[in-house]
Amino acid sequence: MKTFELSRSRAAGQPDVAGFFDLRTFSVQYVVSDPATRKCAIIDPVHDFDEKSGATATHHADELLAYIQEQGLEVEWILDTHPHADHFSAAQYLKEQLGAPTAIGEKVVEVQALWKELYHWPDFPDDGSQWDRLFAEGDTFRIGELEARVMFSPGHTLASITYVIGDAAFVHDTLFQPDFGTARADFPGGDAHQLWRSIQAILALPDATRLFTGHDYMPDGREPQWESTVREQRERNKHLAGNVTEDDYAAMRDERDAELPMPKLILHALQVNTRGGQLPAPEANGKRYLKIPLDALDGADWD
Amino acid sequence: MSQQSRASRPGVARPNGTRPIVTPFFDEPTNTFSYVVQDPDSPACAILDSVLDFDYAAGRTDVRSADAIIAFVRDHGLEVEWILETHVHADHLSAAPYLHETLGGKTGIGANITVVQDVFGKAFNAGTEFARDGSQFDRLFEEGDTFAIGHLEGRVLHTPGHTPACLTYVIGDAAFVGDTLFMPDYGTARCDFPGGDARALYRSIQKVLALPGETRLFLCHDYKAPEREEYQHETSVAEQRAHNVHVHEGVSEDAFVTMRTERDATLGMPRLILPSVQVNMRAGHMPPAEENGQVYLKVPIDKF
Repeated sequence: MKTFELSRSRAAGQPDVAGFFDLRTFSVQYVVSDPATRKCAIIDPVHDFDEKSGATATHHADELLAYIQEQGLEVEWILDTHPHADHFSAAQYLKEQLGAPTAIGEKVVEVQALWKELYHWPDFPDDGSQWDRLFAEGDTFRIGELEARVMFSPGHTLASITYVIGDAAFVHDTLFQPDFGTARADFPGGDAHQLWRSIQAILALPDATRLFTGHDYMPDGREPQWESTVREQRERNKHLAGNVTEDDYAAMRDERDAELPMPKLILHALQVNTRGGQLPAPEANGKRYLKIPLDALDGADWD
Repeated sequence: MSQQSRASRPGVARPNGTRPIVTPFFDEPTNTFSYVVQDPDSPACAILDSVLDFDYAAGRTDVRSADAIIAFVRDHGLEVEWILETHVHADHLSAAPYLHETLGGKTGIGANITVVQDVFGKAFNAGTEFARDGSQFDRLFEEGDTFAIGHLEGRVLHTPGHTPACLTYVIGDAAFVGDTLFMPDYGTARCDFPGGDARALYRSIQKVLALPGETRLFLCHDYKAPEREEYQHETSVAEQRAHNVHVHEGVSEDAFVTMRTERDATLGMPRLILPSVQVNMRAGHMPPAEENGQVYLKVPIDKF
């Protein structure tokens, strides 16, 4: 099975994009690099977690480190598109290894406030101070000589952002591959109408823009894929093709979401990812514990 | 989802107190059989190894499975004398407190629960409110203890190996073996949880297999088996002696221990072990709520 692919730059100002697939969580992590300067950014890195035993591991993050070393790259940013509900972010681990700054969307503070209640963390700073930078719509930054720009893309979560880097956009949980459709919008803070508008903003990028998604669920057993273009999505995305209106889309999305169980790691992952990828502080016995609130999350189908 | 299948009824006339009516209730998500064990000559019954439904992803609990047992008990005008556990389960949450509250009866488990409480009390860093003396149960059974379900006599075999606290309840001609033996074509229970011991399991199984050949054995789990598409829950001592793929007659203790240990090394943890154990060590009660009134389970990181 394909778990790695390099999408090469075809012109100055365009990045090389290396995708790494994690079959366990169906997530794609990326290393986006500037061929001219060998500077790069990491996007949506995965910290492995086995919820059955509570064990963590860094296999997937170490795969990124090995690639970066092999290619002689220098990491300027460790980026997340949103606080994920299906895997732990490896941002803190990678920051410890690499020293590069971490970043996420500024609305993460609202996600923090929401989950601070649910997890009952009275002393938790819900001010985004766990990251080095919080991005807002229209913010720009550089990776070597590559121009990067931030689009606010709420809907799947209220803090989701898209990174547009040269001719590549990292859309994470908005659009999936055209044959799978779009992300669910029923988590706390999700909104199908917002997701529609965020997707329209992405589809307004130039036709040839390379889109890199955050997950692939391999419909009908096909090989994993994670790259498409704006034109392909506009023409073929199964949730959007034809004359779908915002209301049609929101109705379809809500109906479909009502049949989905919660992702199996949502209660585990949010308490790590709202801390920027840091595990909770140890208890007096030196051991760390995650908390699972009982009967607090409702709405999704029974798993 | 809980589903009631056919009851095992007396086939031939027998003296009172020797042949209970046994009705299984199957929970497919956890492959667990719960039982209502009924005295044919009185309303008395016992409930064994009940299940509280749990959606781990959303952290939600439900009592659909337990309600099916409650409906059965009420429909048949039964009186619950005992709510029993064969052991502290690692794959489902017990519904004992809910059943106890709704139907009455006394709760019971093996006396070695205290060992399990000690191990997992530490692992979960439970507070001092968590007593590790088994006092959450009405009765702690030891090897050879007896109890009554109407005219039926129950007798306890200590059958450790899967866990240190495992019991087999022998009630009339029926034995509820918990996680020792599974169906003959599936074999035996794993022994790699904290406190598990393959050698102890072999000896426990020999104790069960020393019961009369026609003894009906009721299993706690079934996972189907190669070439078998239906779930099954009942077998006999004679069938197990002749056909159990792991411990049929002729398999030595050392051979079993080697097989069991090698096989266990290839198994992942059960999906619900962390939620199950911390609830079941409390006799099925949830941990105390935090100041916000919310109950939380704990997931120890990198501990197991």
